[in-house]
Amino acid sequence: MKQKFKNYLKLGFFTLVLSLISVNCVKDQDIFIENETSFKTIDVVGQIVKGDSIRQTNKNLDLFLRLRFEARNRFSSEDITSNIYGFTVLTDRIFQLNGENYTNYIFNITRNNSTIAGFENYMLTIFNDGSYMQVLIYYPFINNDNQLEADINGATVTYINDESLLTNVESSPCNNASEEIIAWEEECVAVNCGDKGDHSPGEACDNGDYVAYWNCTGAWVVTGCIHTGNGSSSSGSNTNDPFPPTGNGGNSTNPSDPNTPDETVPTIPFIPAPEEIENCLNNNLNTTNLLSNEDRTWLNDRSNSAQVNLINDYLQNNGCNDETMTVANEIIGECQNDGEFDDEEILKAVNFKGTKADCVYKKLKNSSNGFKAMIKKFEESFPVAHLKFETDPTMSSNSKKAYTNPPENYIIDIVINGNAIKDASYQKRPNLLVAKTIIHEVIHAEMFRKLLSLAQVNGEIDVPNIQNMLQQGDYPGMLDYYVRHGNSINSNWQHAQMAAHYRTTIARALQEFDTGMPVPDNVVPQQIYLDLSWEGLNHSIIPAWQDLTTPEEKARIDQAIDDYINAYPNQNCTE
Amino acid sequence: MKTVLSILFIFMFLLSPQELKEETIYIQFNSHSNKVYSYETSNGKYAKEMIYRKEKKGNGNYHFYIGKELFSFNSKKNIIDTCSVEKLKHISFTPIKKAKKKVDKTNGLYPYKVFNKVFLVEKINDSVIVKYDVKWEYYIE
Repeated sequence: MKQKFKNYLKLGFFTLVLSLISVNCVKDQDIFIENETSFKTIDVVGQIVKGDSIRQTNKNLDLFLRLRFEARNRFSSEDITSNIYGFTVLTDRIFQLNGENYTNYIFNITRNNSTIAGFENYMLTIFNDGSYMQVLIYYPFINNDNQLEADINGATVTYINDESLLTNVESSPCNNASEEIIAWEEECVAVNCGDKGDHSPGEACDNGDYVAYWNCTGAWVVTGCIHTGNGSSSSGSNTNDPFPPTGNGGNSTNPSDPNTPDETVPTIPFIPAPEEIENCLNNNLNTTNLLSNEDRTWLNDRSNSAQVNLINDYLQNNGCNDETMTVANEIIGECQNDGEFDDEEILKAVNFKGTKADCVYKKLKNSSNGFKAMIKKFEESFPVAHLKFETDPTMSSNSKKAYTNPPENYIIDIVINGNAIKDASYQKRPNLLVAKTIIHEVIHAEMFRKLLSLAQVNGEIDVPNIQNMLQQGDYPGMLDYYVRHGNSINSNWQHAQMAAHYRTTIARALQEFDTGMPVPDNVVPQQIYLDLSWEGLNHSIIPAWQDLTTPEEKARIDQAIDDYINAYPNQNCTE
Repeated sequence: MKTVLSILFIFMFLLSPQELKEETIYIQFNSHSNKVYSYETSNGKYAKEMIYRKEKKGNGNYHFYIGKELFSFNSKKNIIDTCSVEKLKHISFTPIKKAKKKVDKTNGLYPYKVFNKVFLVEKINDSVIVKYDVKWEYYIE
């Protein structure tokens, strides 16, 4: 849900950016301006306007609002209540966000049981085809030096459906309007110590337990419609439009408005996110179409708009190229299966998210700097490869804990045994050994990542090229193991190298995971963690295992692993 | 050595070798076989496992294993072809050993790129066979 809201924010920011770079002709109107915000480098002024001020200036807007929000109001002439969801829409301030194909109206709301934990906006989106969408946006408060501020990054969105809030749904009131000038604006009210005293925000109350504070609410604020093209807008041409754009705070181009500018208003047209994504993924000359009909249907489903906008943001921020296209395509597929990126760009399938394996992964990442460093290589803005975790609930093997696939479309897939009836499943195994499995597989992923960084074609390792490079000595560390283990890319050289060079790394991460205490690089991890790090590497064909001093030592390590497994069966993980 | 012998054991139950003259190959998947192979689990300990294993995944997908080799069937991309058992007479099966040798030599990390198509053929009963258009995948544990 957080991700969804981020997309609303990003949509807002995207809109803002478009406005800032393209519009410089906002004109003063005959409305009361509460506040102005000057943007540093661009000659644009954002305005907060009072709802009644807009309505006095624009009778059509007034009519529009009355039709939609006031006809059924039983409590006052201004506001309307949703009995289904138990809130009242306040219409004294109107926040408007215009797109080419939609218009958002954002309102503050009140509830009888409001708390100081946060506040809410009601947002109505009316699409040009007449359909609409209603959402409630909840902003939690965060305390910043005794000032409660809305945490816009922590906001959540809930889709609602209450037709009683609407009496009519017609075409967009800002027909053909492009983007708006928007800004996040807050109103702060000093909250005193109950009924007593006159304390300034930040000042301790008399009982010493509380302090007075600022309580700030806000919303995205937009003023009027800004039109694209040659300055001749659609206003006046659509007689069915109940709200033709007029001088309502923006630079409307209604011919009846004497302030209408004659010159062209240069703006960048808004392209809906699904169209942007399709333009990238299906119209690139270098590739075949990546999107299936199912993908297109999903992209154009408005209930997925939050995720779609996030994918579009990713393409916008990183450019449309082979890598981003394949990643975006993968995400679209995952989203349809309810998977999603986490905050660090590690892809988690839905069957991984929220599981014990996911819990262990998170704890491991939080406890071990070494593991964190490994993962970070897959998280940077332009990583060589992306990492994806999933579990397999029907894996039939009773001994296979997990496996890793080589990169495909720049994605390296780690699949963990999730078959709860198998001894090798993450469900049955101790947390520490699930952590060991994850580390083991991430090291495989890192080895694949290195190969990919050396030679790749379309996000896959260029095997013939790698073999040439390795044999020419371009990568001596890998070459050594590669040559000594059969000169084959899929030989056991990865395990041989891991056993020889990564066991201490694994053991250190395990100790940090288990104890919560960092283990410095110059300190050898405790014996139990060194023993456990052998799991999966204690095979007769692994030279490092062969080279262990005595059969007794090998047997001791094997027994230590078995004992640990038997001591902690079916262990739960709590974050 | 035991692992190698185990893998060799697998191929004894496949049909006679054919030359890999074409990019499309057919591999027999004998789901009724009870044959097992053994593999090392740790420090010289071995476990046994069925040679032919079929795992049903979500959305009509399957994973087929022949020994350690993984073949995945994606129902979104491919359809299952059901035929009369009579068709078996017209199918030239490629021993997996021979196909694997070519994979190792050509592109061990991406077996599915070595052949144009790989079909697994499963005999369901005395009258029906099923043909799966599969993706041969490499993985490392």
